[in-house]
Amino acid sequence: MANTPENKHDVGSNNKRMSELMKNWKRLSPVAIAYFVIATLKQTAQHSWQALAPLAVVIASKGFNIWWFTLAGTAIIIAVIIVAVLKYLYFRFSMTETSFLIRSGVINKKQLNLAFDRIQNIEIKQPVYFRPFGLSVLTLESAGSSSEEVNLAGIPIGLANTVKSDVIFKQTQLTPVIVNENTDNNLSETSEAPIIEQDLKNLIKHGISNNNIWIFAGLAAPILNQFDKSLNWLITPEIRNTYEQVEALGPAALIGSTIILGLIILGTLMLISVAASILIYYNYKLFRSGGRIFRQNGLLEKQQANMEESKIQRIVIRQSAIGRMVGSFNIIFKQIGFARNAYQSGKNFTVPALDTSGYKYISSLLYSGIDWKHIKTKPINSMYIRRLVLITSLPLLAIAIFVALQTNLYAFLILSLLLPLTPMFIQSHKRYRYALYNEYAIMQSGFIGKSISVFPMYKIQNIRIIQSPGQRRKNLATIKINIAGQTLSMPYIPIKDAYLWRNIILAKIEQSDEPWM
Amino acid sequence: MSEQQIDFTNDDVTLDSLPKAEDVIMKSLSPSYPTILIIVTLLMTAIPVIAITILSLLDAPVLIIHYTSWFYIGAAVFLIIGYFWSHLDAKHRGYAIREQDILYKSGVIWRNVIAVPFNRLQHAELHRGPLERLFKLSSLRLFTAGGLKADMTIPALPEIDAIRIREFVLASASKSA
Repeated sequence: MANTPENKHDVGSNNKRMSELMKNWKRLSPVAIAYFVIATLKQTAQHSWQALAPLAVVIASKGFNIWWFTLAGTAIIIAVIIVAVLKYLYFRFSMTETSFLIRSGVINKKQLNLAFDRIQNIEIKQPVYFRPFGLSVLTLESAGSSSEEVNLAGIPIGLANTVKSDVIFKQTQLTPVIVNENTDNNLSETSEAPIIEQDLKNLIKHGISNNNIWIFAGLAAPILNQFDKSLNWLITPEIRNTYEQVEALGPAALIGSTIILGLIILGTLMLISVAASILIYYNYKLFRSGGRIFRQNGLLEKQQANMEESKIQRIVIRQSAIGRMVGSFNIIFKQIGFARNAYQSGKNFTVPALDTSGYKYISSLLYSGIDWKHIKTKPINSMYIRRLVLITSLPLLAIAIFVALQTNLYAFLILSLLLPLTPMFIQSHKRYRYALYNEYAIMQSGFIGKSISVFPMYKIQNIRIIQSPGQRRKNLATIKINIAGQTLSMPYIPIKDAYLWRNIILAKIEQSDEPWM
Repeated sequence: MSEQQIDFTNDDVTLDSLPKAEDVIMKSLSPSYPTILIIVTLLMTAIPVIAITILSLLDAPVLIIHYTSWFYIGAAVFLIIGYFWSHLDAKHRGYAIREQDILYKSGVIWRNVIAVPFNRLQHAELHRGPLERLFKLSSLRLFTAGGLKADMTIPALPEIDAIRIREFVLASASKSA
């Protein structure tokens, strides 16, 4: 890379430190061990809590022995610390003119070479325990593979800032991106009024309609299964007595009490979800300034995050099934390559609990020219339903024939499974809608809830048109649109529309000189 | 939004004058491509056939040697279908290079056409497998930021063509970037 005079000027102040860094492999500050301890605990919790759950059952069923518990706890903590220290000792990093080099791994050693021009996201975080030492965590994410993500924990904040501006500077030689310096710290100084503020009422709505409770219930199911094996200790004589009393009242009482119990469980789950929603999104504020979006939220742990508007690949307006009842939407700003750890890292930028006018306001603010009043979305062809019915009925028919040969003709009753499935297909068909509007493409899908993706056409990477033999006969096609790692598809649209989409999209991409990332 | 894009309204006139990707004439792959596919099919069938023959000659105590004749029939059918399929498959592949993008079609049953605009191209690589080397062919792999693997792989291009296409593609990509 050519060293222009400006370049020297820009990097000059930190030239000494940079050149020192380039010479040799460096270790992180020892304080980073704390970071590794927390990271190890987090990882263990994420990956093995299902395995640990039975352990908890064993402890509970064997009776709670404080000495045994303390001993086990100490052993675990020591093990985690040893792992963290080893991770720290084996973690080294170095920098060349054009890339980052990271060596890590205790057993499986790996060396990562992350080129500056492939880094698409830089984030500097300062956990509480790093603050007194003036240290920070520098997170680098590349556009390519999700495994090429680097956390440099425990490097001086000054160096982190230097690296950040240096990398951004080196990138801007390649792509014209407006760089807004030190945006990480001046959030509270943003004088502009927030574009969105969420009050408690909305957050409660969000808590109720959030799909997370179903995810939570899904996660809880395997744990409950583990409990199943040694469930006997749970059934105390009192419970058994109550059950027998209810049973004596007759089947109606049994069913009724089961429903009530189910409602109680559901209610509890919802309460948890509402509490989580308030904890996370309390005092939610969304700002917009200098080509960036800022968000601020959280009750106990204050979160501040920002993202460059030009990095947004698409926005997803999402409404869950329950959200439909309370009229609540979320908007998610999708960036590149975050699909893998979207739920873990919280880097996905979510605007919770919007009503219809709220999502329309934000989407038209971000994408100027979007006018929801004039967007006319089209439905897909109904052959989609027929095809789904056919695809599901063939294996069902095969099973039915097979079973009928073994037993009797009643086996064909299996085909009645199609009765509940067909309305589901019809509903899914109804949710698919698509439209092009000015510079933007709008694609909607869903089942009971819906999810609408809106994106400028120039963000698209490639476009694919697929035709099955049946689609060819009916002049239909499926289009798949690829936006930086995420593929959106629209099945069973007229081939004429598919061609039109391809021609317009290609023209928009090829005429655009806007950077897509 | 830049000046250029404002030209692009949803006007019918403009839409009709758009270059039509569906009208381009696709260039087919090297005529040796079916041969390569047939060789691959042969190798794929040869390995289990040889294994089974050896097992039955040795009178190995495995269940499958009781069905060797069925197995040979199956392999023969597979080869015959493979022979015709290879030609069909090759017939339905093709590519077209336009000024601003490249199109590639594939698929006998599910017809698939992918379009990659040059200014979304991340990198391009030439790949030569042992069979392709034998026929002096290369595959061209094009990567956008779409996914982890190549978005478009054009197999069996004559080496000179492949190099020329890659150079043209990369030159167009850097020009428009």
